[in-house]
Amino acid sequence: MTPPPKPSKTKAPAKSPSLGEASSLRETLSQVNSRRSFILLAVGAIVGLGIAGFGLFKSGGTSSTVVAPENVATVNQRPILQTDFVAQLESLYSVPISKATKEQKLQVLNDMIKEELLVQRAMALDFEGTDPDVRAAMVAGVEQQVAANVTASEPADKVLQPFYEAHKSDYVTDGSMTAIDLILPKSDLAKAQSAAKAIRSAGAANALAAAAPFGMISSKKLNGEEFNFAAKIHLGPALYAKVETLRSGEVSEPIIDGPDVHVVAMLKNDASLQLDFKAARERVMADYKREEIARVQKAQVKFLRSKAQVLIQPEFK
Amino acid sequence: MSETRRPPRLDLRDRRLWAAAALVLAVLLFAGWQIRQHVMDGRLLRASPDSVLADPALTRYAVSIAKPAFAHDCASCHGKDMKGSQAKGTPDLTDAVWLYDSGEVTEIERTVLFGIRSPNRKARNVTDMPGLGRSGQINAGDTKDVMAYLDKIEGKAQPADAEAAARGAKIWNDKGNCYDCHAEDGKGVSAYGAPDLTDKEWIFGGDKAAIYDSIVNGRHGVCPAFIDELRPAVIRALAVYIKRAGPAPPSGAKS
Repeated sequence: MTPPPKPSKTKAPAKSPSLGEASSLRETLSQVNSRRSFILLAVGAIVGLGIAGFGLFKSGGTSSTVVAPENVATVNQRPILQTDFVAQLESLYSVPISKATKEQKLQVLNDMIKEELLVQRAMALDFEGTDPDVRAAMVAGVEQQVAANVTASEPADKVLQPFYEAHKSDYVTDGSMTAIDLILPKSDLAKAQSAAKAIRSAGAANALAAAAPFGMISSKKLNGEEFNFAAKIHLGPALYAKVETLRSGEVSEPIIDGPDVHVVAMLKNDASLQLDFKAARERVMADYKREEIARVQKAQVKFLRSKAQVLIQPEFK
Repeated sequence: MSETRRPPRLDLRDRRLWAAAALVLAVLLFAGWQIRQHVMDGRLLRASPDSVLADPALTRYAVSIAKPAFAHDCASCHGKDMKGSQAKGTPDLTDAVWLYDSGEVTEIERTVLFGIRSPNRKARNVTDMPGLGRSGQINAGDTKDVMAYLDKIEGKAQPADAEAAARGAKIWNDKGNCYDCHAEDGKGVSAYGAPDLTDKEWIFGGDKAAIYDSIVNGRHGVCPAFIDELRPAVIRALAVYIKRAGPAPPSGAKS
């Protein structure tokens, strides 16, 4: 017994009108003519090369006949920004743009167009290469532009923390001290020792009066309540190191520093305290960015120098 | 046995045709979206900046492009809620207090374009808060006297030390040169971003330690310039978005 014939796989399904059209389109497109394809390809390539060549060799460059909406005008394709126009208008006439008259707007616009024309003329005359003020401004501008990314960055705590740890001694509170620094020539060490004893008896607040009979006078290096960092500058690091730990009311032993012997009466000493990372974060960030900016600016000069041909006279090498 | 009639499978060429049609449709949709964006950008930029908020359609468009830009470029400093951060020294953008000028859209736009103390040559950079103590201009005792004077002009409930405040007033107008930027009455000068010190708004914190730090070490807050980072319409939109986040104008008109 023969099995029933299997339905033919090539049998066309019942056609709906859309399927019929698709089939016709398919048949049309299936008639690939390779010669025609190559001709179309060649025509397309030639047209494309022609357009590219025209644009490449035409000296006019790209230009636009439309002023972009963020600009009020263009001068030789260089824009005059709307925001600059508004700022200039307000600066000159002290009125917001909505209240400015047409004459005022036209005056400001003409002034700005004139400025742009003259700037472009200056560039054509190479003023930027010769005028020292212009050169200084350009150098500053480029340096700032290099620093822009660093300035705008927000380093994460995991970047700032190691920096803080490495410079921990810089991040202390600004302690202050009120002290009287008394001096004698260092040859009078014995007198200074007697004066120190007298001051301790009389109290630090009476230091001047107590020291006077011994000829000790104020050095005038300290003026009232001083920041510790200021006191360090005024007294000098060596002398400061010996007095910074004096408690309020304490009087130092005679200290020889340079040509003089000093006795310091500490009236009040608010010591600097270590700031933790959280408290010091803003200062850490500022210091970190400052160092980063110096680093990238140095790297930029090194890079430019490596790419430039710098020739130096032998006697200046 | 009857056959189950299935719809005919598209052969490979048909599938390619449909794929090509889908691609063309996607390109057309994308082009249409770009054209709409270009048209709306133009409308936003050509409108008078301070009147955008009066146009609901333009405002909606501005908010739609400003919101993601703010989240990406501004929120890291000013916070997602635009309330700023005293730890970072970034101001609250939702209050009525403006360091520079008076908070109009054109003024905010200028700040976003060129920044504050940014490397851009047009940045707002007339002055910053110098470290008066660090430079030696005033000493620690002077700083505390000035702070007593600040307590007085701020009208704090706890009366300041009258003698210290009097010394502070003298330093304010003389050795400290504070009046030069903050004005004689302490109300600040918005032309160069010197804040009003008599209100209760503090960028870096109003507690004694923060004010002491400000006077001694100075403050140099920075807002980057976005002129080269964002397209002009986004910058205009950001200005509108920020203005809109502030309190309504006194007339009560909804902005």
